[in-house]
Amino acid sequence: MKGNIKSEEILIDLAQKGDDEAKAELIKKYQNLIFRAAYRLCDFDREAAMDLTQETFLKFLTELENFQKRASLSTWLYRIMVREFLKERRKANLFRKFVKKIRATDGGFHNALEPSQLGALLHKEAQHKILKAMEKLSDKQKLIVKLKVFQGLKIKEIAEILGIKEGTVKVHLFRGLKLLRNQLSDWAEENG
Amino acid sequence: MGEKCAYLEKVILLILEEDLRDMEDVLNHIKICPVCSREKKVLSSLISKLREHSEPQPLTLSEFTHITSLIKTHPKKSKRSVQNFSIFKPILAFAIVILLLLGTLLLMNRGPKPSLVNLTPEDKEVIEKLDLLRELNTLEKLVNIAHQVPEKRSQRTILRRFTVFRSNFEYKGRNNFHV
Repeated sequence: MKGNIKSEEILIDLAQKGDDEAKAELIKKYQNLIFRAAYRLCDFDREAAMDLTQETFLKFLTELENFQKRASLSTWLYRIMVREFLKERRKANLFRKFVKKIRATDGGFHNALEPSQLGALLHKEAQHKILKAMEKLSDKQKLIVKLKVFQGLKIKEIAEILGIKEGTVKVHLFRGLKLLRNQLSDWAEENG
Repeated sequence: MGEKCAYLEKVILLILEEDLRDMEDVLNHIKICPVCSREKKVLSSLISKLREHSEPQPLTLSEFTHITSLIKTHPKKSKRSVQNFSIFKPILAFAIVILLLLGTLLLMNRGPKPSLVNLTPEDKEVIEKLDLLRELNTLEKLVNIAHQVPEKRSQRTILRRFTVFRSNFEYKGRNNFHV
């Protein structure tokens, strides 16, 4: 583990000096992690998650020189991803307001193609349920629940990523979780 | 979360964070508290379901290649000019210092600006009577032309002195002083 951290530090140093191989190595290392988080943030829209992953790494490359290693690289990447996600969402909201197009509740599922037909259907239904329940949450609660419950980040990490206090994270998390629990507890128990 | 228990928040944190300082206390409490025990069961199941259904299929090789290829083809922010500047910055600074030194040396070698204080009384007299001498010179030339009389020796001497003084003065002053 210590060796990994050390080798990562070396990779970061090399990448900051412009080493393309080190950059590629870091992208390869974190691509899946960021993609999984992006998929959850983008309401299970695979295509959007790929775009967000790509945007995150493009920003990572352009801002790499400014990375001062105060936080871990993963936290920094999450921060970039959340920032890009919120930026994209603002743009999408503006666009939606402009054309008065109402987003369908099952948005995003058309891209989630799963290998088995039955499995895919059940998976889609579950995702539909989750998204429906998530609609009751505020934007901040959604974001924190996605990062904490779906992605499994630590409360401290989320506070760092969003630039807020741990206490604030907990408040939003408990409220969001309470809303989800009220709507999904039956489903969770019958499937559990 | 309908029924209340003082430990409920800690129970949720235990499920979410999985490492608490007083974890032993909370776990012991869950064993004896039906509210917290049920809450732990429901929440654990819910969280596990949420994680399971929010997990994407791993990126396929083509998707992975697609993302990385787009990243690779992305035009990088050109830092070349800035880098070059940073490399040449000390050289540029050194060149500027050298130029400034050379400039200072050249200025010092120009010599002092001719001052009227250092002039001899004769030179001063010439300067004071400069206009008069000019007029005299013109008048003399006119008279010479009219009468075809040769120049007087004394006037010629004064004029020669004036001419010599003027050329010397101009040379020293390097055009700073024009008579």
